[in-house]
Formats: sequence, structure tokens, C-alpha cells
Amino acid sequence: MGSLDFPSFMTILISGLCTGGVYGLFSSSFSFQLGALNVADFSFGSWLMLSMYLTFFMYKEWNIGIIPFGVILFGSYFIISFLMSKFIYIKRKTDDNMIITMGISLIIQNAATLLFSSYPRSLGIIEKTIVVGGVQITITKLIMLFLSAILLLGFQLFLNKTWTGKTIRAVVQNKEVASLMGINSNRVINLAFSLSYVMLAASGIMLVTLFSVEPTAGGFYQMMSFFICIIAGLGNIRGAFFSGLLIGFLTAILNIISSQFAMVMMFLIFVIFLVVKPTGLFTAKSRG
Amino acid sequence: MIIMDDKKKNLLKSSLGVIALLVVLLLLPLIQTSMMPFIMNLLIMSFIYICLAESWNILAGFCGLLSMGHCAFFGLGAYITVMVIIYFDMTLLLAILISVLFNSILAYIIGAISIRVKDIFFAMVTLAVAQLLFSLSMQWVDVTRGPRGLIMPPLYNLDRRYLYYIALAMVVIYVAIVLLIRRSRLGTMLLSLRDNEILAKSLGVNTSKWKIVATIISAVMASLVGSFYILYIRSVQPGSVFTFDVTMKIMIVAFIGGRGTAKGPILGAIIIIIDELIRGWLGGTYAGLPGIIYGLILALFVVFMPNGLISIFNLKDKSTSRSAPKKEVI
Repeated sequence: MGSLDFPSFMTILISGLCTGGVYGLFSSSFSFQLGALNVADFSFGSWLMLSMYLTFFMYKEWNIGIIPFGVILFGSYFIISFLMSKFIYIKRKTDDNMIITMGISLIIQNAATLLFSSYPRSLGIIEKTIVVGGVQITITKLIMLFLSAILLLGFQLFLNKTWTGKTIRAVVQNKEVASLMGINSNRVINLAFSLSYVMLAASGIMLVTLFSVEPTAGGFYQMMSFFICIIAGLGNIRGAFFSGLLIGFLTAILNIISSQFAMVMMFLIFVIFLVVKPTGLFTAKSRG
Repeated sequence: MIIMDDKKKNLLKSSLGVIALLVVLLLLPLIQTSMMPFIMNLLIMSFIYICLAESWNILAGFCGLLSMGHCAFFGLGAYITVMVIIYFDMTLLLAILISVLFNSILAYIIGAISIRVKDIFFAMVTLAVAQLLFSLSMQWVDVTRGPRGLIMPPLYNLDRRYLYYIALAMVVIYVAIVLLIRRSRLGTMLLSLRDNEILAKSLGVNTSKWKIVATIISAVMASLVGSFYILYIRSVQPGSVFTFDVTMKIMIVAFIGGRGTAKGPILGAIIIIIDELIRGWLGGTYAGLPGIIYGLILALFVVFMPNGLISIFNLKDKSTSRSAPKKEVI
């Protein structure tokens, strides 16, 4: 740690902060599922990994433009998650859901191994950097930070301003009363679940520009998103974004202290945090 | 002529079946064919997973604490045993005792955690502990030799046949332990934790204490299997004990047989045999295929047969198996 000068220290921290932004995006979608919709989704990380893979192949092999690809990806994620929610998750208890989603995660992960091989793939973008007083900031990461912030802001606005968003919040707050007011609660929950999956697909596209992807990557992102939404407090979407930034920051610092034991320390902090304060730092006033 | 009622008849039938199965398994190693090492390997692997599933059953089936890091206890048992033998040059028995001690400490910590966090939180804590141990065993190269793993010294080179009998004895003992726990006061306490913790508490059950006790029992059982594993396989790598695949296999065995039952995992072990056969058949090709099959089996079983294979046989273990999930009232 002693050999590190201030500008490179700041470079690492800012890069951690920017990746933290994307972490924040997919974690807030996970937080929305778990906290607001009460679905313990263990296949989350694998779907994220699949979206990263598909983006990679779209860019490198298939020659589809980004807009048609986005439409196809978001559409298929929306439909698949709607069906999963409708036929599987909504009817069952939490621990059954955990096992089912785990099975689905296993299928996706191994299908990726079978189809794409376990070799890690990276887009290998040559990044432009801007230098401010010796501190290097890569433009891609900066764009991703702002993009994820904008997406989340859009989602928040959707929840607060539109009719559909309001029904989602009503159902999350009290399912029975919402049903009495003439809202089709189950359909609203399915819809909300699908929306969180669209957000997931978007963060997959963004993640693959920053990191390489391999079939086992899902487990790591799953763990990260769980960690982040615990720190934020379950169901707190805005808090999840900020604690994503915090985790990005923390990862960078741990890597500076000791890159060998960074992951070990990370999990240790996670376990200690879960024991000491399972309700989260940014405690949510209302869920959702 | 003695007239037996249905209950006794069933008991006699099932106990006759168990005795016949035991006799076949006991006499099996005496047959001399070239296929024997292969069959014995299959059986020992499935015995290992039966024992692990029994230990998982105590936590997840009885207490309702869904442990997703059960490989942590198993792997720690294997690692500590071999590390004590290599670095401190102690006897095998002492090494096993020390590994049990370490596992009890870990189980005490996890049990203490389980008082504070529930459901998915507990699942994630156990998962994180397993990940922590995986990262530690990968990165702490000076002690664990990283991904290359540790190798058992050739001093303890037991014959495969003895190992087979040890494993068989372990299965019998483990099933007996789970049956005994189920029928004792302890089992009733644990089941009350699963079904309605608040009610149990209000009736004067010391829930925190029994959770910790169950975790320690479960961990010690898994740890002993880990010690056996290192005796049998003779080497241990982070990838072979601390990965999620191991936990997955344990859960699949328990689920397919019937969660929360003592005899279920014996039926569930069929999947381990099928898995080893498929792996042997495919060799290195089609790397992801067994995993896909696993995932499908797991998801389909939870959806269509939540009580496991044991519900077909309708053995007298119904009281501990879970009732079918009810549709949520809206």
C-alpha cells in the first residue's frame, strides 16, 4: 500500500465507484423482487450472466444492431419472467421458490457451459480515458454510471407517477386491500416481476462492457446483489443504488489493501453485517 | 395363528426389506469380478451423499433452516483432518476429533446467526460462509496449497473393502440417529421450530438453544463424513468440496428422497449413482449436460412431487414429511 501515490489511488477508487453504479442497478432490481414482491429468486445471477453472454455474441458474432437486439432481449426476458411468475413463483412458499429458482439457475449455467464453453469472454473495448490532475477516468465506466443512475431514476418516476406504477405500489403495500379496490393483484405482481427482469437484462448489457463473462459469473453477482440490498435494507430501491456505489468503493479499497484476500474479507464483512444489522443501513420507510 | 393388524404387518414388511438390503450390501464385496471396484466406488459415493443428506435433513428438514452452505462443514472436516495429519503429525483419531471440534465451533457461530436471521437470510449467510471458506482455501496458498489441494500421506492407506464397510456402518448409524432424534423429545422440539416458531416459543420451548444444538449435531455429522472422504479419495481440493455443486447434490438427494425423512435419502441416492454413470458414459464431452439434468430434476421434483420418492412407497415416515404446499389465499 505504501508504494501507491495519490493519483493512482484515486483512479482505483473512482473506477470502483463507477462499477458500483452498475452493481447498484442490478441490485436494486433484485431488491425490488425480494423486498417488495417477496420472491426469493436465486436464478437472478444466472439470468444476468445469460444477458451478458447474449450481448457479447450479438456484438461479436451475430451482427444485429443494438436496437433490434435490445427489443428482442427485453421482450423475451419480459415474457419469460412473466410466465415464470404466473405459473411458478406466485403460488408457492418462499423455500420452495428458493429451490426451484436454484434448479433454474443450474440449468442456465450449465446450458451456457454447453453452448458457449466455460472460456471467459470479454468484449475487449479499448477505453478512452480523461485525465484530471493525474487521476485517470475511463469514459465507458463514467457513461455506465450515469446510464444506470438515469435508468433507476426512470424506474422510480414510473413507480411514482404512472397509473401502473401506482398500482404496483398499492399491491406491494397491501395485497388484500388493493384487490378490494379492483386491482388484479396477481397480474400486477407478475408485471412488476417482469419489469425487474427487463432492468436485469439492461444491466447485463452494461456489465459486459466492463467485465469479462463466464458461466459461473452468476453466483458472484447474485451474492453481490444480495449483499448490496441487505446493506440498503430490503425493498429500498434508491438505497440499493447508493449502497451499490458503497460496495464498489469497498471492493476497490479491499483490493488495494490485499488483492489476494479481497474476496475473503468481503465475505467476512458480509457475514458480520448480516449478523449485526440485518435490517440495513438505509432503512426503508415504506416497502417499495 | 397370530393375527396381525395392518401396522404391524407393514412394520414387518419394511423391516424385512431393510434386512434383505443390508445382507445384500454386506455380502456384495465378497463377489470377485472385474467390475467390483467400479460398483464399490459407486456405492461408497452414494453412501457419502446419503450421510450428508441425513445431516442436512436435521437442519433443513426438521428445523426449517435451509442451509445452502452445507459443503462448508463437509469440506472443513476434510481439510482440517488432512491438515492436522500433515502439519502436526498426529494420529488419525486425534485429527478427526480436532476437525469435529473446529466444526462445532463453526456450527455454534452459524447457529447463533440462525437465531437472528431467518429464511433467505439464513440461506445467504450459510452460502456466504461456504464461499468464504472456498476463497480462503483457494488463496491461502502457504497452508492449503491453493487449487492444487492437499494429499493424504500414504500412511493411512486403507483397503477399499474396509472403507466400504465403514461407509455402510456410517449410513446405518446416521439413519438410526435421525430416526431416534425424530422419535425423541428433541425431534418434537425441532419440528415445532419448523412449523410455528412463535407458538413454540410461547409454549416454553427454548428455540435459540435447540437451533444451536441442531446445527452442532448436523455439523458434526457432516464433518465425520468429510474425514471419511479424505480417507477414501486421499486428496482434497477447494473445487471438490467447497463448491456449490456439493451442496446442490446434498439437497437433491434429500429432496428426491423426501425432505425431513430418515429413509428418504437412501432412495434419493439413486441420483448419485445415475450421475456417476452419466459422467462415466459422457466422459469429458458435453460439459454442461449433467448439470442441466440436475437442475431439471430438482425443479420438477419440487413442483410435482414435493414429498419426494418416499411418498410413492408410502413408508411409515409420513409424520415428518411436509404437507403439500397450499395455494395462497388471496
